[in-house]
Amino acid sequence: MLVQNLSQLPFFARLGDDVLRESAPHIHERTFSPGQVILLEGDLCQAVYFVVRGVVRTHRTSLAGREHVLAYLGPGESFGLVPALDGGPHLASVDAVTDTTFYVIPCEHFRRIVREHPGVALAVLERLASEVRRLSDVVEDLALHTVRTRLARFLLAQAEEAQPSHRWTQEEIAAHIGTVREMVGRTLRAFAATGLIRRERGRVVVVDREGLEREATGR
Amino acid sequence: MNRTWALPQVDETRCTLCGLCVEACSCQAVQLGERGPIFACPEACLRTRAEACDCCCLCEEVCPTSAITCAFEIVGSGQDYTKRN
Repeated sequence: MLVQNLSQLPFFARLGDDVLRESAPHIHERTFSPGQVILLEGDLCQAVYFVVRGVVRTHRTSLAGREHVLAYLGPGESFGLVPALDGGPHLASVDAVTDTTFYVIPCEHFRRIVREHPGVALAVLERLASEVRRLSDVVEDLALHTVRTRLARFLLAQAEEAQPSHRWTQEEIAAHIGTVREMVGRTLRAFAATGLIRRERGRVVVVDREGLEREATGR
Repeated sequence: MNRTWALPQVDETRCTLCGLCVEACSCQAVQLGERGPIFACPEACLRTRAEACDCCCLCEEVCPTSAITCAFEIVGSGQDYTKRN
């Protein structure tokens, strides 16, 4: 069963059943409840985690307690790759958003797989390359765009989803776009006042998509 | 649609009873209880309790200890989104 499940994960899909069977004894399944901390930024890396079910949040926190969300990761995605490869500490804290199940592979065994299987090594490189691209976009967003622009982009991205997947609070959005709660509230009010969005009970409705897109491009 | 979950949620362990949320509320839907704010329909309000607060989220914004949170979905409206929402 574990071998079959492993073969569904992006990295391991490139391995033959014999390698998966050989790796299976080193891989452990772990489950976490919503809100539970999986690991903390700065922790020594013990393992690489692959999300099988559920959603986790990776984030960094300043000394003053201000939080910045780096990513939400779902099934098939992983974390702990960088410290597993360079031996340094974890780059971010991770907590469970929903009930979550992982396959956990000790760093040492993961490095062995990477060394011995070029297909996995290539998959790891592709994953890291895509992360460099994503983080470059995050840096551009934070360094070059205003909160107004970042919030417009965030609202547009969320409104694109066929079904709302999450109920957001102002604090969560602030952590996501790199600002403070007060700025999110103030900017939402400004967007509502100019008719870009409408606030309803438990909803923010994007009513002027074009206008919000203009905000999102900073025009 | 019933959105009673959309009423502001209060974490009483964080509330310092400062009363800023009461001052900020534009529709007078907040009263300060012994352990924190209570979101209730004002006496004169003929609507249901869940409709008294209009979810402007000012209470969340002014709360200095982040004890109040107003959760909301983000959806699209209009031609571009009609088929999906």
